[in-house]
Amino acid sequence: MPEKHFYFALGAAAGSAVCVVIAKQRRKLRNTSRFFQWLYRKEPHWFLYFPLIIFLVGLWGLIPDIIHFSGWLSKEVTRTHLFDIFFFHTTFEHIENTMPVVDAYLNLFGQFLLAIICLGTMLFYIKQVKKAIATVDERSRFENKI
Amino acid sequence: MSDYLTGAGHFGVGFVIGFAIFLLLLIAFRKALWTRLYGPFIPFMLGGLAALPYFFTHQLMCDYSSWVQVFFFYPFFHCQSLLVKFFSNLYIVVLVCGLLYVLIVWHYIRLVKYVRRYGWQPGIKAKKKRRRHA
Repeated sequence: MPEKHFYFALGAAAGSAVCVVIAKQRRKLRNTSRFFQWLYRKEPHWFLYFPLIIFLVGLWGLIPDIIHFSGWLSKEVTRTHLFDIFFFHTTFEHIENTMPVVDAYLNLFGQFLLAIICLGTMLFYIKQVKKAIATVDERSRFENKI
Repeated sequence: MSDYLTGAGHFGVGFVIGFAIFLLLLIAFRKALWTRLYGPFIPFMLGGLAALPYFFTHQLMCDYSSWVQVFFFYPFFHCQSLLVKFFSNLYIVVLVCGLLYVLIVWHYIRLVKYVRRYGWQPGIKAKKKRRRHA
C-alpha cells in the first residue's frame, strides 16, 4: 500500500501551502483579525512555530489508518469513498491493489517530498537568522552614526 | 522481524549518530555560528549516505565487498544484532527521527529568537522573561 509516510507527506505539503499563504497574509490579518492581534501580543515570533501546522495537516492524512489501527472501524469501511477526504485515501488504496509499480513510485515520491519539506523548513530558519543578523547590524551601525 | 537492517534502519542509525556529532560540534565550537546554522544538516547527510546502498540494491545480504563501507559502514551495521533489535522496527525509527527533528526545529527557533534580539553575540545569554505579578 502507499505507506503511511506518503499520506503524511501529502498532508505536510498541503500544510506547507497553508503556511505560505499565512506568511504572505499575516500582516494584513494582523490589522483585520482579533485572533491574530491576540497572537502577536502573546508571542511576537509566533510564525516561527509554523511546523506545527504542517504536522497537524499531515496528521489529517493518517486519520483512516489511526481509525483502523484503533479498531473503531474495519478496513472495508475505511476504504469507502467517504474516506477520500483524507487526501484520497481510498483512491490510493485502490491503486495499491491494481498498480503495484505506481504504488512503489508513490512511496518513493512521498520520501522525497518529506525530505524536501524537512530541509526546506531548516533553510527557512537559516534565512531568518541571516536576515535578523543583517537587520541588527544595520541598526547598530545606524546608532553608532548618531 | 528481519535479521538485518532495512534502509529505514540504516537511515535511523545514521541520523542518530549524525545528531550526536552535531551536539558534539555545538560543544566544541560553541561560539561559531556555522555549527548552529549548518550543523543540523549532518544527521540528514549521514542518514542519507547510510541508506544510499539500499536505494540501489534493495536488500543487500552480509557478503558484499568492502568498498560499500564507504556508505557509512553499511556492511558493518547491516547485521549488528543490537542495532537490528531496535532499528528494524519502522515505528521506532520514525519516532526517534521525528523527536530528533523536533529538537532541531526547537534549536532553530531559539536561535532565530536570540539573533532577532541580540544579533550574533555568542557571549550574551538570553535573559528569561520575568513574569509580572499583579
